[in-house]
Amino acid sequence: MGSPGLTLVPAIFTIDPRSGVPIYLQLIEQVKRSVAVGALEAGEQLPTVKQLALDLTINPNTVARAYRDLERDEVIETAPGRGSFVRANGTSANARKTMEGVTLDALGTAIRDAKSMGLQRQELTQLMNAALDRWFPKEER
Amino acid sequence: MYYTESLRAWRMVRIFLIVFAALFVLCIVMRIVANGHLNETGYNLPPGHVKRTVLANGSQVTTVTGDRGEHVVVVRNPHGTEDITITEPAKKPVKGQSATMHVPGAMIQVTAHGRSRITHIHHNEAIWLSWLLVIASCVAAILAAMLALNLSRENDGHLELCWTKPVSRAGYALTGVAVDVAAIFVVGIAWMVLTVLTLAIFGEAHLITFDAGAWKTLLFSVAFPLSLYGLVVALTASMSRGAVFVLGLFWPVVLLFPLFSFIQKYSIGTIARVIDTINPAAYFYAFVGPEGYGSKILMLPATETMEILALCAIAILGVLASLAQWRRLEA
Amino acid sequence: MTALSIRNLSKNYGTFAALKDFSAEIAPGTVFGLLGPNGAGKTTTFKCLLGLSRADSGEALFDGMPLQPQFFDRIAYVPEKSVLYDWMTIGQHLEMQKRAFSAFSARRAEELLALFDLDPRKRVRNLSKGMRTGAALVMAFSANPDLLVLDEPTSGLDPLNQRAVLKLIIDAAADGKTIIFSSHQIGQVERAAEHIAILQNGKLLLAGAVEDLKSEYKIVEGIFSDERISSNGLARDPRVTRVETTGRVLRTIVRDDSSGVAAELERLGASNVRMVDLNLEDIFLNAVSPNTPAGEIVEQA
Repeated sequence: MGSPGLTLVPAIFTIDPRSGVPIYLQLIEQVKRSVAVGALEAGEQLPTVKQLALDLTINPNTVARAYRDLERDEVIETAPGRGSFVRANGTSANARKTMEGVTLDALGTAIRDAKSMGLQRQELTQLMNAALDRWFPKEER
Repeated sequence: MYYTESLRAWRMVRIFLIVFAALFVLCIVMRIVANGHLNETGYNLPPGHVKRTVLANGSQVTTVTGDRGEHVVVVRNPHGTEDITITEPAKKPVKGQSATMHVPGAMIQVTAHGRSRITHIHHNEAIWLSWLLVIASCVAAILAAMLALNLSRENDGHLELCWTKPVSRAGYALTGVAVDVAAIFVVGIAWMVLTVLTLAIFGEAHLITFDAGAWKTLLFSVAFPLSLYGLVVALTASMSRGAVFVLGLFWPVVLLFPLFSFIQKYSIGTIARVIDTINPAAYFYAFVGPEGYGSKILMLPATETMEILALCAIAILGVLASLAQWRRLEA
Repeated sequence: MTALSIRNLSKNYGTFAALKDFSAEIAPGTVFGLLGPNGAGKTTTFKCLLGLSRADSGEALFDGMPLQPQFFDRIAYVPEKSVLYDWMTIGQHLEMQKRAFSAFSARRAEELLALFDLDPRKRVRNLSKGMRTGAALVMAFSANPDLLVLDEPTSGLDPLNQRAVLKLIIDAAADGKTIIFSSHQIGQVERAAEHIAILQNGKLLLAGAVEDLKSEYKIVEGIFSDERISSNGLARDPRVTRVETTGRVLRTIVRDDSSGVAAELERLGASNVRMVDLNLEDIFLNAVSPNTPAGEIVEQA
């Protein structure tokens, strides 16, 4: 067995089990984000299912499910007996796709909330532009 | 699978052995102290005229005549036996009476006739094995009744532990019974060994006599504690904490119950005799008591074989009854 | 690997129904959490399961077979209350386990004693409640069973040791063991369990995979312009498990198809319809909340 003692959670993954968002979805999102920002590099090995489950104190099948979905999404690949790795070939394209996916999810949530508060499409577009101006001040729209 | 049971039995056996050791030491000290005084004056003869003669066969005869007409004759035979005859004047004249009693190593006969009472002690110094066995059996019986509470002890909050081991409930209980029976034997044998050892220390071991009834007494001595075990385990198997109180009541009830056999009114005696069929103490009295006593307190024919068989039956049926209860219990 | 199927278990104590027709399928290598308030029937379930109490009806099958004594070689049970012998030391208890269970590992026992900071020479009589729980867990886990039945395994433990117990459960699960445990602490169940069942008054209220339940359950709420909201239609909607209104706000708890219910709210004239995720605690409280049975309207206005 791995030591059941307290080990530090790897900084790149933080899980909130109390959240209403399923843990495996949180995990998928975090792995994708890590790949996108380069915290996880191509070919880098991910912790084993058991190790990650112990580190995060979550059910191993939940981790396994996240890994399966990540594999399906071509973010990682698993070599039997060796472990799971961040996919090497087409990494930049993948990372791009992953980044877009993560961003789209975040935007979608924001827009849904805004809409539920009664904001109209036009107002939202204006807000979006204002936000873009703040973060990309010198760029052309 | 007998680890816990052995630990538990050993805790009890240990207490018995400590007590035995203390008794052993006490006994030896007392014998040494007593031996210092044990000469002829040690017999506490009445003051008066003392006459000593030696007979042709080597017997030493001591005759003491007291002031009030008491008369004591001590004949010490060369083979080690001793005959003491005490003649005392009785206060009132009595009709002819006679009683004989056997105790370890001696036969005592008391005869009263007219105005005198004669006590004749034939001190043959033989120690019957039967007597030693019966005493050991009583000691083992005390332990047996205590060990028989073990199933009820499991019932006091440990069933989840007992019943989640890879063994059937009956198997678990029987393992415990087997360990308890072994512990009963250990204590009985330890008592016997210490008794013989005490006698051997004072050079008296050769006095132990394998008497005619010894084989039957041996069987009886084994069956008696086991029957008490069976009875107590049957009574307490489905109890938990209350079992200790049951044991507290158990001894006086069991020991005194046979007395009811002598009550003639309202057929109490008959009822008592019926109930005494499952009372090991009744069989004990019948076996140890004087001739004819058994038939007064027992329903079954009061033969020694029958008494041994009855005790065995109580032991076996008691354990079976406890198993039946144990299997029906719920945690 | 031990699969466990619990089929229609019922148990009455006198006239009190402790468990009513409880069924569950527990696949090998999964962690199954049993949730419920005190007296919900969790301990009764375990006792009936393990044959410690006789169920009035129903059965529990281990890999399809009814329980037999030799199965216990592969099963470990840690009851809620300590059942250890006061007069024995922890070490003697472990010796007892070693002699009883064929897969017992002395090395594992030593690791676990160190983990819980327990001295094997100590008599159980001198242990605190938490230490007794720890000792019982050491006994259970060092027997290397395939099926662990743990009744409130973290009760009396400090947070550090509670976390250690969760890790033990997770570790065992990762090694393919089957674990069924109960807890008051939803947070623990949420982390460690893959499937849960919520019991109340001996009845199964809700069962399912934790992650699926979290995905399925949503709060969908909308604001109406009129205080007199007609919620009758929603209350009868099978997707909706609960409807509450507070002033002009109508709040529903939805299982399955939350967007469908959101659309329905909009159709009824609600504005600002929003969906909120429900965590397991909310789902639990929604299930057991005594005066608001699922699907009933609560007018709080």
